[in-house]
Amino acid sequence: MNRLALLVIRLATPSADRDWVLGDTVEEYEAHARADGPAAAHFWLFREALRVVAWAPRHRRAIGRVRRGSAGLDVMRFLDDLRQDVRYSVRVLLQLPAFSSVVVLTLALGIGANTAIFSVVNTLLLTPLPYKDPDRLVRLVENVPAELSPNGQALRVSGVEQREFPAWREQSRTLSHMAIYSPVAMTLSGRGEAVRLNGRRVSPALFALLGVPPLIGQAFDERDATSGAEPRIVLSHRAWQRYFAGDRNILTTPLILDGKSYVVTGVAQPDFDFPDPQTEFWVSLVPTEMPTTGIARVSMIARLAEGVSLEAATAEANVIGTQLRGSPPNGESEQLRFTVTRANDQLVAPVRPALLVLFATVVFVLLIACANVANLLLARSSNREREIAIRAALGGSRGRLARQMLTETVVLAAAGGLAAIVIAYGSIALLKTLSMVNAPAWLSPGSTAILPRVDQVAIDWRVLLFAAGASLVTGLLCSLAPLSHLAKIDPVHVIKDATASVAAGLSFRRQNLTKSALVVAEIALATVLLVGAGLLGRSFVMLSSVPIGYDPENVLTFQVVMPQGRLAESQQRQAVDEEFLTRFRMLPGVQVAGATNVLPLAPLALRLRFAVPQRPDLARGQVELPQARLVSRDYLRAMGVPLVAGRWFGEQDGAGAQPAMMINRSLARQYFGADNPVGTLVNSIGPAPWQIIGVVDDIRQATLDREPAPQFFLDFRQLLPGDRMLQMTDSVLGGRFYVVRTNDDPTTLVPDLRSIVAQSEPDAALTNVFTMNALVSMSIAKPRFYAALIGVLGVLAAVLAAIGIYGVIAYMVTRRTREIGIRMALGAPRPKILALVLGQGAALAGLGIAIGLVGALNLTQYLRAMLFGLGPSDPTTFVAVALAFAGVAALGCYLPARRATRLDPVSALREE
Amino acid sequence: MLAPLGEFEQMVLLALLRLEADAYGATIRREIEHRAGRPLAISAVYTTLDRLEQKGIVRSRIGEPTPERGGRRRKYFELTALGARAVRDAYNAYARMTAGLERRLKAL
Repeated sequence: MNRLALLVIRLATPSADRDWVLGDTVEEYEAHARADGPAAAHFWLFREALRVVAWAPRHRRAIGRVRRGSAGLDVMRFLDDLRQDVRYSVRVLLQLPAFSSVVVLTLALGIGANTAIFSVVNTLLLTPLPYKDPDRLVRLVENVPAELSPNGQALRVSGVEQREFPAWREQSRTLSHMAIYSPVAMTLSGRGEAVRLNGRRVSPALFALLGVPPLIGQAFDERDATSGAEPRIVLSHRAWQRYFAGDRNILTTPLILDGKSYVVTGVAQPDFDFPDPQTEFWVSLVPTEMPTTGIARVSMIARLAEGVSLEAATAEANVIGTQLRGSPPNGESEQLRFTVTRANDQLVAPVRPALLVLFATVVFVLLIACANVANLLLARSSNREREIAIRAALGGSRGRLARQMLTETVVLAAAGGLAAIVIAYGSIALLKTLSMVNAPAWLSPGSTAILPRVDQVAIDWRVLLFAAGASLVTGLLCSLAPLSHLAKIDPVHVIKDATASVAAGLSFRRQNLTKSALVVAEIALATVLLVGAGLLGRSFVMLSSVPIGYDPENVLTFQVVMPQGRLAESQQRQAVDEEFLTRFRMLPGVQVAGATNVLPLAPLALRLRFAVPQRPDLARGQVELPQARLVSRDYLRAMGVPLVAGRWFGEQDGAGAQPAMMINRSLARQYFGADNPVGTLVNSIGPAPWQIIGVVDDIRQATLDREPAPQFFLDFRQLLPGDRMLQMTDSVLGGRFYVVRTNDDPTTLVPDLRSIVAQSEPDAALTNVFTMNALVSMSIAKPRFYAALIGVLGVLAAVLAAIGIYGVIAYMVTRRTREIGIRMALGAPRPKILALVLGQGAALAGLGIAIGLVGALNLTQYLRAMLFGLGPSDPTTFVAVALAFAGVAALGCYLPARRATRLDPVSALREE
Repeated sequence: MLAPLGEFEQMVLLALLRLEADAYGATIRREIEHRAGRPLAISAVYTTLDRLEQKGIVRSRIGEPTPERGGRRRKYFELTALGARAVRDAYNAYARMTAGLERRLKAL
């Protein structure tokens, strides 16, 4: 029985009729064979096949009319066909598990990465803030021009100066509610070990402004704004659960905070985390009770009055601002001094550029995945050339065939989309872990929350819709190349050529061109991504290996917050400090222990007078004052800061002795050039001059990416009682920092340290316990986050592109098996064959990498703000990426090339 | 009013009558070939059956898989009520037209 004839009949008949038509054919064939012999039956079968082919279209039309009558339900017909196509596609694809799983996995990675990033965008840009009428919540931003800014650069600062707030509130007509708030930390005592809580002082109007009532109890009201009112507090849900186990009687129990009794008026709702999730309580901000020193600028949030536009509010803000600040100093500048922006825009603005970079990256990855899948589909469609040609020859319309092919791709993309949701789910969890850094509030800003609102990121209907849309678009995109190939299949040519498929077909060559173009494109895209990833990675490595000026290994840091009002007298404070440090030093494993008012990485600069008689040109007003820091005798040694000249603080530099000062290298260079400053007398705070006794190395103070600034160090012991600076030590960052250097893992000491503090000062809170290594690591969490994320995506892109080039070269080798066989039979040496195949791969890879490098030169400009220590066109990175990628591509080509050289010419020639 | 049946249609319908429950593509073709002595292609039978089904003269059903012919199903055909009337009308018309002509027809 001839299979080809049966195949023809099978293909020609509609699926519903296939079975019985074939049955009749078999029955008849057997009857013929019995009567006239097999040869005649064979002949009959071929004629029969042709007749069925002629009959089938008429039959189709006939059953079409029978089934559907005249109602013309074309939609039904379409859906019916679609169902058939989908079922057929699924069946076909299940028969090709390797092909299907590679395609689905590739698409899932591409779509999954996009879905994950979209879920972040969705939360930040499309999901409103969880407050009442969030579109009307606004913030005031002040654009400080360069000439007025403290650091000489134009600044955008949010909020108002606290003393100006009453004027803003009285004069504004465009804002219906206004509230200010500022951070505060308080020690909760009287309930076991004292704990330090982080919260906000807020205008009593805040809760009404946000429109979110507490879960239990009440929010503040206007009574809370008057001084002398009974102090009240609202607890966060998390703090309520953590410290009070969700006890509802909390509303009747007074709390002792910083030695003062507070009434708990309410507990906030679980998802209420204004202004950040770390906030554990809110207390009323009484303007007259605010400290006059410290930070004068407070955050402000406001609500636009009904029917007022942002422009109107901005215009009014500039009128009020001008009254408050005198004539507008931005006379020359086009930019308005004040702008009113939506609260969410203000929140998202700092991450918008990075978000765009991330989104572009994942789109690139998806495009690479698409190119790979398109190539796989092309390879498959050329394997199916004969089937397609026969179907076309038998009257299967191209449209129908195209639809079938499209259905297959969309089915693959849909499966990819489903898998992508799983991948996105995992990626979101990873994103959250990576971007939520549990850093102390005093650490350099920007390192605490890498992505705002990241805790709210979740897969909702918009994300699912996005995944579905992305899958559909991806499916269509991937089928473009195979579809255009389908249109070019010439049935006559293919069927004629069927017996000898020497790789000479016209369609083959055309298709080769498409495949090569796709590979070049994906290599180019992957090159761009790798360059970006390389730049961020190298930048991160440079940042983390920058000389920081101290040794963070085996160093534990923590703060001890004294109850307010206690130990105000500096002598007494000093005595307690000495006792702490002495007892810390006695713990086993401790090498040195010290204390300071400001740890490295806290962006706080206290500037003090520093006058040297030898340098009148650097007198007050001529240069920026250096930063001053207060330290205990052994602090600098505990931090592992190298001594450059002179000596350390010693026992002899106590109270009443000759005031002694240590300076850093930058300050020494600024004032003394190459001269040795040790021994010089300096005028600073207090009546007596200070003698420089030693020079230490520079410390990166605020952030690792900022150059060290001139600094000097004074010993706590030598400050006069009641010195304002000494008081600020405890009020600005909450309390003194202690530093303990140990022989090995310092975290094992924490219980001992706690008990030492608890024994001598029961109401003091030991808080913010971090190893110095952890602090350094947290301070660069943001660049690490982006470098890691884009690095992973870049490697993914490179792997996909390598698979892509491997696939194309392997396919070419297969198609040229006969040709290679002939060459080898005619005596071509193996190296020449290897060179032939590799040359082809090298041409593709070289072209792709070249295009990619040019593209990268233009695109990496957008990374400029995220880079440290190198420019966006860093030649080292470009060359390294080009070489590394060339290596990967070479490997991708080498495997199929080696297979080509191992071909046995005889069997290659015998192959069909 | 039904359009009168064509000659081949009548032959197919008569074969259906004769084959009763065993009427499907291959048997119908063989029946006509055998009785009418006329070689014909099965697709011709299919085409006619399609047309008859469209007119509501025959109806079809797919049978259970059979052990013969590789376990494939058969598509059985039978007359509908309309079909029965059409065959009867055709036969009656033919009978009336040929009444009394038997001898002369044989002699032709």
